[in-house]
Amino acid sequence: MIEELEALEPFREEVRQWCATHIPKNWRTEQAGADHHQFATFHRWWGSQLRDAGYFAPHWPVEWGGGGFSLLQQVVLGEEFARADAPRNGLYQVALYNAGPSILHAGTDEQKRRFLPGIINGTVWCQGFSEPNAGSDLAGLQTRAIRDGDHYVVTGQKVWTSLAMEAQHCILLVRTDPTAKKHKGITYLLMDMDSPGIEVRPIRQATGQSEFCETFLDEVRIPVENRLGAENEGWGVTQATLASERGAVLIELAERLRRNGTLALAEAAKVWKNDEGGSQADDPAVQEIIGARYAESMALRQLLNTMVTNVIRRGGVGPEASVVKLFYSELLQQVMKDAVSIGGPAAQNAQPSLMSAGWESGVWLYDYINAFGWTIGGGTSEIMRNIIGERVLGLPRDPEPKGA
Amino acid sequence: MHLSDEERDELRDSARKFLDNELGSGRVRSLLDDPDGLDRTAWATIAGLGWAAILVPEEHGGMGASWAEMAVILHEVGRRVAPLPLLSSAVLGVEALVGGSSDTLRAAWLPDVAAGERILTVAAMGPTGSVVASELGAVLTTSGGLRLNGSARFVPDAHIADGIIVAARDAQGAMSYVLVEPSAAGVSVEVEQTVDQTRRLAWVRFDDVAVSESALLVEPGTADALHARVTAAGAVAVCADAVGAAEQMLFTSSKYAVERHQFGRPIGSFQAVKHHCANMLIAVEASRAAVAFAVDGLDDPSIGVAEAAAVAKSFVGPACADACQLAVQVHGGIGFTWEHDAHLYLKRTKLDESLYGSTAWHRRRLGRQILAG
Ligand SMILES: Cc1cc2nc3c(=O)[nH]c(=O)nc-3n(C[C@H](O)[C@H](O)[C@H](O)COP(=O)(O)OP(=O)(O)OC[C@H]3O[C@@H](n4cnc5c(N)ncnc54)[C@H](O)[C@@H]3O)c2cc1C
Repeated sequence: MIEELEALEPFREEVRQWCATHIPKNWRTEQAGADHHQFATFHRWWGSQLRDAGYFAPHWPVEWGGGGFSLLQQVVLGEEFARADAPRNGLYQVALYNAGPSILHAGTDEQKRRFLPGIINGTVWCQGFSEPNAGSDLAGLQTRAIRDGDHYVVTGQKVWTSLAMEAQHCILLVRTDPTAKKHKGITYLLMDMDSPGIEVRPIRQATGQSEFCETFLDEVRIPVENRLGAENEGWGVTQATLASERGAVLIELAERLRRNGTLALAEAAKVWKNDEGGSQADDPAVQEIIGARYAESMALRQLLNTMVTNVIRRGGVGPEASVVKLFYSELLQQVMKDAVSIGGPAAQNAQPSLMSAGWESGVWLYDYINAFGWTIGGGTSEIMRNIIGERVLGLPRDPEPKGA
Repeated sequence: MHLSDEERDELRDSARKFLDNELGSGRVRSLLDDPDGLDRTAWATIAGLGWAAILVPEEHGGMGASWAEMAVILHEVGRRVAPLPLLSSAVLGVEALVGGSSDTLRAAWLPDVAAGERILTVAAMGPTGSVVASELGAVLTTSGGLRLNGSARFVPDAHIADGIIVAARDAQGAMSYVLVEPSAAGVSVEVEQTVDQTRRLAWVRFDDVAVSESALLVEPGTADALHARVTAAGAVAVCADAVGAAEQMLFTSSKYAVERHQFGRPIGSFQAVKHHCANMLIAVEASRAAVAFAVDGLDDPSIGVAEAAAVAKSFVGPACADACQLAVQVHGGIGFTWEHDAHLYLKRTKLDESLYGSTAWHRRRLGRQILAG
């Protein structure tokens, strides 16, 4: 991959220049302690900057307003954004990486025309998949949709819906056939968040911030033309969107973790004192921890390079993406945990922190707690291990309990 | 010479086939009790395949290939925990001569080493197993001719070596590299009683050994960079070996987890067991990545040879040894028997973990480098 990347040096230079002139120097201090409206306002502005440069949807085809960048160009973009400590494009994650690719993959031309330009212009989407009784066992979801002429009438409850209070649209999984086996009766709908009957209640999270919500649906009418894919075939649509673009996103996150995590921990250790008054940086045990995390960061980076190379050479990633997701999540959690322990009381300070669905808040203890967003969200680490065991190693599935 | 991806895949396949046929578990086990621990017939064939010649430059009868190829072979050898003098001769010996500045020694040794006709090794660790210059036990004095005293430990294959390259320090701690023959007066080689018997290590003692000027690999007192390179190569080599070993245990364990039934179902359907296997896979894949990073570092020293080796050694050693520990656990009682191969792999990876700098030392080194940067 090294040779191919070298050919992209001019592109890298272009991105680097752009970053140097467009990233506000003080965005971290300005955004520290922002509430979710201030967060959204700032991210809308940042999104518009990215849009003007063609970096907003780098992975989308040009036809639909995307950058049409190759996977390697996306890698370069991610690396450069991480290097420049650009704000993350967090508000639009679901729109750009879930809703958009699903519509591109399973949508009709009419649906593409209706929804994709909006996404490029900054519509915020949320993901209404999880329910109180359907988390890891997502296919057990119970939100009901009953056909009434050319509408579905939807009643039920979604939960952990990130940024639902900011979203204009929601990708929604509903049950249309309660008699079918659980994976077979699910339909994928695109819901307008302004529809009557939707109530969004932000949930206060462990960090004190409110990013994810309960979403109550009471006879919400969704036009049938907003159905993605066929009725009762929504499960297949969700599976198809675990797209390879994730590779490029993770490369950016891994690079951010190396810099804002491991290397920032090293910087902090120079300032932090141990109980005897010495610098933590001089403590061999601290040096050992930092070295260990750095080695793991480099292994992660190489794992991602291999994954991207495989996508390019063999076309498509397999379940090994689970290895990368898991390794990243646990390394993230470990780096933050190490920082909290090396920092001692100094890492406990509840200074105003950055809001985002990620970790880069700048406060170690918040970042540590936020890491659960990765070890729980998007499929828990335990579920990732099941997937690796079953789909990579071919071990027998967990037997389903009788009657499921 | 740099092989293409396809050629490298072919190299891997042919190495795997050869080792599976010629150095399967039965053969490896019979060598555990062999005084030399070496199957000379297999070694002759391997030499014919060019495995000892990979890192030897073409002008000295070698393949002039890169570390990427060397790592493929070391990985496959680890997969079979095969007792072969590759670490000693094809890696350490060749790296020392190639990295040194003596054309005479290169011309005298490399063609035979490449052909597998003579075996070299490097005594790079002191009595405690450290590679740090101040901890070396071999001392070279220069007044009144070159003299070597003291000892080196954990020297791979010294008992079958035709030449031993010794990392020695002087009273001030400056490093030299000299080549001595085991038959020289004052050199004695005693095989170490290590638990792992798939590798033979030796304690080599030097009692006022006379060393000629022509046996110096570099000017006396200037071997620091060479020592860094050779020990980095050793570190990456044992890491590649460990990944191969762990990969084989992952394969064996997940197969067993499908076949073995308890409570009326395959044990692999129990999540505790499934997650052990998943953790082994993560260890193997991340270790493979760390070795790939280190291999790039050896092939392209601008990355920093010491850092490359430290990244590999900081992660791979414990990760792969832990994977082999899980293999024993997943097999239950049968995994604890002599008859089952799991213990061979656990011991081999535990030994790999201990050689060419401890995990903790490599991590501290990396940590200090980052803290300084
Ligand atoms: C920060 C954050 C943001 C999120 N954003 C969204 C969003 O925008 N939209 C959305 O739809 N969802 C979202 N989620 C929900 C997320 O996908 C679920 O939390 C996740 O799938 C786990 O489901 P659960 O919370 O019900 O936990 P449970 O499934 O109840 O799991 C509880 C524990 O049991 C374990 N467990 C469950 N089943 C198994 C099994 N088969 N084998 C082994 N262990 C098992 C889990 O690993 C976990 O440790 C978000 C979650 C977080 C934390």
